[in-house]
Amino acid sequence: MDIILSNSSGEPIYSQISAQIKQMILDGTLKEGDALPSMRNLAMQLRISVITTKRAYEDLEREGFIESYTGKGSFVKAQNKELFREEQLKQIEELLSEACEKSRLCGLELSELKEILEIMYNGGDGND
Amino acid sequence: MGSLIYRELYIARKFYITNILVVLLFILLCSLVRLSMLYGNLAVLDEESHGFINTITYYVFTYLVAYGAFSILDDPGVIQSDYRSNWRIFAYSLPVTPAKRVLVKYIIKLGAFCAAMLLSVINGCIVAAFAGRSFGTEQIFNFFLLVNFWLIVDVLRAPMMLRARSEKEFQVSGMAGYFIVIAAIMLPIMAKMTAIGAEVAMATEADDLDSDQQLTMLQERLMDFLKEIHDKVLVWMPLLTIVILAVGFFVCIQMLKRRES
Amino acid sequence: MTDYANAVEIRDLTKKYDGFTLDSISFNVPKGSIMGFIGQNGAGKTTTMRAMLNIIKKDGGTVSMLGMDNIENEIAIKERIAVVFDELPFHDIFNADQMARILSGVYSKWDNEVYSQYLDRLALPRKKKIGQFSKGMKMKLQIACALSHGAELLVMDEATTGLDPVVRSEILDIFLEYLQDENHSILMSSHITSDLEKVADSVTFIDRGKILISGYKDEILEQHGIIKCGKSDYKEIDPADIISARLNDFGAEVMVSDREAISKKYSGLVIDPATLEDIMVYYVNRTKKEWS
Repeated sequence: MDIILSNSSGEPIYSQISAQIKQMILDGTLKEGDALPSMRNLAMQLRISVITTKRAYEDLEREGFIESYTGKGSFVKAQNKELFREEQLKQIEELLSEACEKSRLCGLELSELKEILEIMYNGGDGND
Repeated sequence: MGSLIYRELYIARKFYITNILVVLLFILLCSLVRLSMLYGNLAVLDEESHGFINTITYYVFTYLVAYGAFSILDDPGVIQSDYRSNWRIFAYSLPVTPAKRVLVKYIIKLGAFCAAMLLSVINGCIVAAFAGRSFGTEQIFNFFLLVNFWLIVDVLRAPMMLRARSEKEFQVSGMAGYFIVIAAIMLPIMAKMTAIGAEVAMATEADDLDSDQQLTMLQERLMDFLKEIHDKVLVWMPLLTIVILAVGFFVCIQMLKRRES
Repeated sequence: MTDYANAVEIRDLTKKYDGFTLDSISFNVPKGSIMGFIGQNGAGKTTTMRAMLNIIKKDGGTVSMLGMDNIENEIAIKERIAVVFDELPFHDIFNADQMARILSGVYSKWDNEVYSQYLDRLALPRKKKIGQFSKGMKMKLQIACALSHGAELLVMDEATTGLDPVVRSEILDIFLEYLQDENHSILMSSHITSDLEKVADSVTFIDRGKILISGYKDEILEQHGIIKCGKSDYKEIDPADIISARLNDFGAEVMVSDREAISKKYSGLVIDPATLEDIMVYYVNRTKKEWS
């Protein structure tokens, strides 16, 4: 499991951690039931305060991504497939609406857009 | 506690080893002189001088070596060394009570005392044998005079040194101990000597004594006085030793309990 | 073993000297955490630590360590804590082995195995006289001794001051490892804030005998910020919102203690995050209000 922190990004450390762990859960790097490093161990490895890692884990738990058991540690929670799909759909819609807007801006026709979409979905890179 | 004793002994090892070696050397030297007097170069002295020198050397050798031996009860510099290395502050973070810390020093002093007493007694026997006299309780009680001298100096010094906050305070404490005791001893003697001097002066006037008689009278009176004090102190000696030790123990603990400032 | 929430609890600690007073100091070190005690030289850090350890007599207040009163249970406490000073308080003539001999007779829980392991890990020679150690080695020895008797609380008075960055980093790693056991706590005083910036869980600032701030480091860093603006904008800022401001020919740097509220109140102003060092410097100048 890789966690890379940046002091200069302006984003608080705890949110960088929870974002990266969330990402790993969502893209499948971390699977249901996988054990996360203990808060203390993570703090020691990253050389940060245990309060920070605790906060990151608490956020993740609140959002339903992990479960913590005192004495045992924290584990990746079974992801609600529905919720996950909904979340992804929302993002897809956002991205597509952005693509549509840009298309309109440069005069791309809907049919051309659909072509590109097809090629991309099937594994091409969209360049003619 | 044993490890703390080890610590202090190791720090003071030069002091104690040097002291013991020097005393041993002196015992050897004195014995050699005596042998020389009997069989060697010094045997040429005539009968009368022989007797006189015999007596002098008997007393000198016995008590000089004893004085050297009991100076092992002097301060071995541990308190000062602890202050310089900051161990003194560190010791406050250790789970050791002030009583234990003082006890450690007392135990070491006891050991030193035994070593010194052993050396003095051995020397005393040797010297007595050479002089054809006996060695016994009289000498040992006199040894205790020396022991008590050092004990009193220590009891006066140690509390001050335990609380000294600078090199200067250490030196002052060290000196103060000696001076107080020596003054306490010398003052009554000086006072009495002045009194005796006055007496002799008056007697000279009254009985018209010549200088020889004067001198004899002076000597006699002084000797009588010293013997008087000596006998008086001897009686109180054992009690004095115990009281000094007890007082010292408690005062030192109190000093440590008072903390730094 | 008594259970306690705070490894150290200091309440209204007071100590008066001629010319300096420790004035009602209060703060806690939660169990399992590392507290950075920050302040300038002469601010009162060492006085506080000494009063806490009963090296000097306090004039008022209470101190409890590991759940016990620091005076009543002094010996019991000292069995279970370790103190590390800024200078090695051992005699030059001893070597590492001899120190083990001495300390093993003092602490009932002394563990020679653990001590040996630390000596090896820190590459400390066993038979060399301590007087010949370098500064870094001396500190490492002190730490090896501190961690070899099962201490639950590590108290350090300027332990990393004067060490080079490489050694400091090594030592910090050891502290972080020590904290893996959640029954272990650390209280360290320092004026080198960069070490504490990373690893401290909480910080307490002391200045001229008074506690300025005490709390979680993350929160403190989040709440404080430095506004960088021009002189005209600076004049618009309400003095009550300012901790202190550093003025130069081209503008002002203003420290505030509630970043969120300030950014709403004065929208458009750039607020940069502050480091612990910034906080210390700006707070120390708070009575001056404006400085340069």
